[in-house]
Amino acid sequence: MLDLFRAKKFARIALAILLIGIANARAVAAEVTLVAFSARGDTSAIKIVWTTASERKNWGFNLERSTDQKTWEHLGAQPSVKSQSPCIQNVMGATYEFTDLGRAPGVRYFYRLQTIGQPCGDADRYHDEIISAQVIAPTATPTVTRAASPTATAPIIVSPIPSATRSVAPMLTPTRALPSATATSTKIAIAQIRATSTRALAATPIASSSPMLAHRIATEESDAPADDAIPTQSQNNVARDWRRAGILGAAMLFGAGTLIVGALALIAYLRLRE
Amino acid sequence: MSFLARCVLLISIAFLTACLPSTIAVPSTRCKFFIAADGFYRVTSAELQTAGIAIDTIDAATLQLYRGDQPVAIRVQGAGKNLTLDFYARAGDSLHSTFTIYWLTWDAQPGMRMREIVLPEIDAPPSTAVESSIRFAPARVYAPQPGDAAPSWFWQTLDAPITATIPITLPDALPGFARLRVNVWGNTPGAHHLRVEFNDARGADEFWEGRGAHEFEIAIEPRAEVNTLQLRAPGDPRALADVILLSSLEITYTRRLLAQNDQLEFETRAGNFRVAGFRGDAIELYDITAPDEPQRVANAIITPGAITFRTDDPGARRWLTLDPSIARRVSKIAPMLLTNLRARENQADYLILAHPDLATAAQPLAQWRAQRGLATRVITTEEIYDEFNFGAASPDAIRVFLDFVQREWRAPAPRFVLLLGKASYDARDVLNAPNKNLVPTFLVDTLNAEKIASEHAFVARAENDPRPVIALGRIPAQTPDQVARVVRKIIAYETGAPADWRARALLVADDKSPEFVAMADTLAGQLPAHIHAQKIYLAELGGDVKRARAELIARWNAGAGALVYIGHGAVDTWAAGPLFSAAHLGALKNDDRLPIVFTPTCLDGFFNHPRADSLVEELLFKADGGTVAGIAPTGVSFADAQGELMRALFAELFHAPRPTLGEALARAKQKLAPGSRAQREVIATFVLLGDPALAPR
Repeated sequence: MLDLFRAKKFARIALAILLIGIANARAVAAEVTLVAFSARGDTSAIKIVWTTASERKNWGFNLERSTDQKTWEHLGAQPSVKSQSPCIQNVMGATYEFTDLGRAPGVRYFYRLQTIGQPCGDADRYHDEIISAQVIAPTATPTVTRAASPTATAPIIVSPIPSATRSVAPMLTPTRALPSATATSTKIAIAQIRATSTRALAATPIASSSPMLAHRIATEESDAPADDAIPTQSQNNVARDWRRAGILGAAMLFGAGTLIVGALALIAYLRLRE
Repeated sequence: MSFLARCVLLISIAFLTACLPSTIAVPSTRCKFFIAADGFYRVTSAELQTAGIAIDTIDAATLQLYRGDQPVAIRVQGAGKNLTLDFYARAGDSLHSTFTIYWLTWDAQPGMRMREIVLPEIDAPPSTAVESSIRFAPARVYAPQPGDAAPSWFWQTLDAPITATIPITLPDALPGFARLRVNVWGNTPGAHHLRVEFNDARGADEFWEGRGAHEFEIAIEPRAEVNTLQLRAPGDPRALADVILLSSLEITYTRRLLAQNDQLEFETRAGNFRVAGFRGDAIELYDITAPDEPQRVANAIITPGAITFRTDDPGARRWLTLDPSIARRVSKIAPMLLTNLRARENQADYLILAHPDLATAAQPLAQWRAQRGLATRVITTEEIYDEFNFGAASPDAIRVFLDFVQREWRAPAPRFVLLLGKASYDARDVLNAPNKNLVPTFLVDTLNAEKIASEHAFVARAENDPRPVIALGRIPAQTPDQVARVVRKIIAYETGAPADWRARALLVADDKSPEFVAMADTLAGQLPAHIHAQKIYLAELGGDVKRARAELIARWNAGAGALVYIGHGAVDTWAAGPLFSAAHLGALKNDDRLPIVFTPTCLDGFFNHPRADSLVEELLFKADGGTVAGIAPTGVSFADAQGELMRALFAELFHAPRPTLGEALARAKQKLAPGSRAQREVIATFVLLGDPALAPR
């Protein structure tokens, strides 16, 4: 009798776990985090810009590059781009940009973004969007003289975030072992990362705070047409949604089945022991 | 009486009811002082007269000062036009206002006065130095933390690796050791490491774990004036990241007893003491150990530029010595309004609770509602604070008032409450941002976000049951012009001729989860036959946001009675891309074809940001179109719980007899399960930005 009571208790606990699992699986917090993610090619560089709509438990971003969408590498010798408000709730988000110099002409480069949440007690998460762009072949009479040769192999140089509250504001932490900081590329010539709040961006042109960056952005805007991002995955959103729904349903059925079988096995075992 | 005459009479009564003032035109016997900082204050009869108080007619013996319900001792000198009133005030840390309110009343019994005390005579050479504490805690960074008692504002973010250099002035410090107490908040879950250096001397390497408050103390050797504190966060190698928020610094050091700008506050134990450094001889000494009951020392010895005294109390006593001519002036004096808000014969169907600057602009709406048969009252938040909270701004005062109205006013109880004024989480105006906290709201923690605006407590059934008993809405206006714009829209909406566009419902769904499309389809299925559902689903458009946006804007401009956006969202954004955001408002030219917008998404109704307006606010205040009202979330919540609310809301809205928008939302919330955390959060954070008495057509 006691064992039967225990078995019933076990079954109730198993059912509760199952219901909690189902409830969590259904939970979709309807918050948009990444509102825009784009890449634009120049004669030697690709500028990647992304805007968050809100940030909460976000330490920063890993930006990854690929030529085949199968093998991905972190950009640069630095592991990540820090959030403007690391691990601090910021419902208005911010805009970030990264210039990937030294890319080979004619090759289409793909980029994806990972939000680093682990340092703040959240999960790391890849965003769905994969964007691409390619470097345009240089013309015979270039209109500008660049600071660095496209074939140079200097390490990444990162400009600090302008901040009123910091006396020293290093953006990146090369000595830190972040979750997926496996960057090895040394082929990127010069890159600039900066972050501005969305509102500040609207009020002030993005190129106003750094002369070098201003020059580069002006060049890109004048001599390189926008290379539309290829939303390779987002074009298949419908299929993906159904795939997700199918996976979710299968997972739920599998979980439920496992728990029921487990519970039955336990009951049978307890009965046999009697 | 003819039908026409009866109509005129009814309209006249309604008009008079709407215009009935809440305040009574009799002289007030109370006024309030706005206090911005701790210190010794002096108020003169001239200042009181300027504020409209006939000091000549007041019996000075009956003057009584209060802080909340706590009497405060004052010192009254002179009479009539030569009267001065001295007191010691503490600014406190009000969560809802820059100012702490002290209020003065008269014409009752004799008031509490500062006592004069006689100290023992000097019996030894006096000390000219004491141990003193100084605290630095400027609030500059908004980083809300979970928990009722947890702070939201901090001094500085220390995001390792970083070195923060802080200059610290310690007035009149003597050489020797001192103690520095550092208060910080671990903002990441792992290990933290903070290295403290004071005047280049290594003070401490502090290690600790986890989120939350942490404090530690180290010995330092300060210099007389400017010192340099370095807080170095190298980043603990065990942690993925180390983000620390600096709360405050407190330094206890030995200082000379020298007045700074003719005043000094300090602490002693038993002994003889001498404070020098005054520019004149008009020096007074107060024992402010009990700050609401300061005691004036009658027998301190005054010598040129100095004051000497003795105390035998072995316990800590706090003193203030000053030249009274440098006493602080209160920031503002205002008569406290005599209202009839506590009168039990009051009755109203429709209450507009407005910031005083917006009350006049509210009158056309009050009159419009009165003409529609509602007994209407416009009440300012100032009246409520004066009557229910000793003059101090607080959302609790509004909640207490509404609770009183339901229990004590004549039946029937109010059906509608409209809050008129913007809110801001920066209630103390730390950021000096454009949006001010005109009509405060409550802030609650949710599963996914901290300190989110929540209006439910104003009208909740009970403390543990957030379901509303009154239809509540807010027009988060900052200016009378914005109020006028929304009122014009409301009247245009309700008086507009029947038109095809009113029978169209526009349903827009994000493609990031099948739940969004499923919810949109369910809501479309709930629409009655005469309402035509127009669907714009991103998934059906292959995720093409530009095409979806163009279609949305075209259909919006053509007109729709209801517009529903379901999907991921943010403060001013619908879906990634974005599908629609505040940047696209210029494309909307729907004039008076104004939909009610419903946004089961996240953050879309975040109406208390000090620097930004939410998308639903922008749509409401748009002059040549936009929307007439919106139901939107202030926070981040789960789609399935939002779906429950939307289904209940559509069941109310689209089935006869059609209720008002506010009543439909209140009834829909009443159908949700307060036992479910997700649904409780939806009840708490979904708000109506618009008029709760709006009649959907």
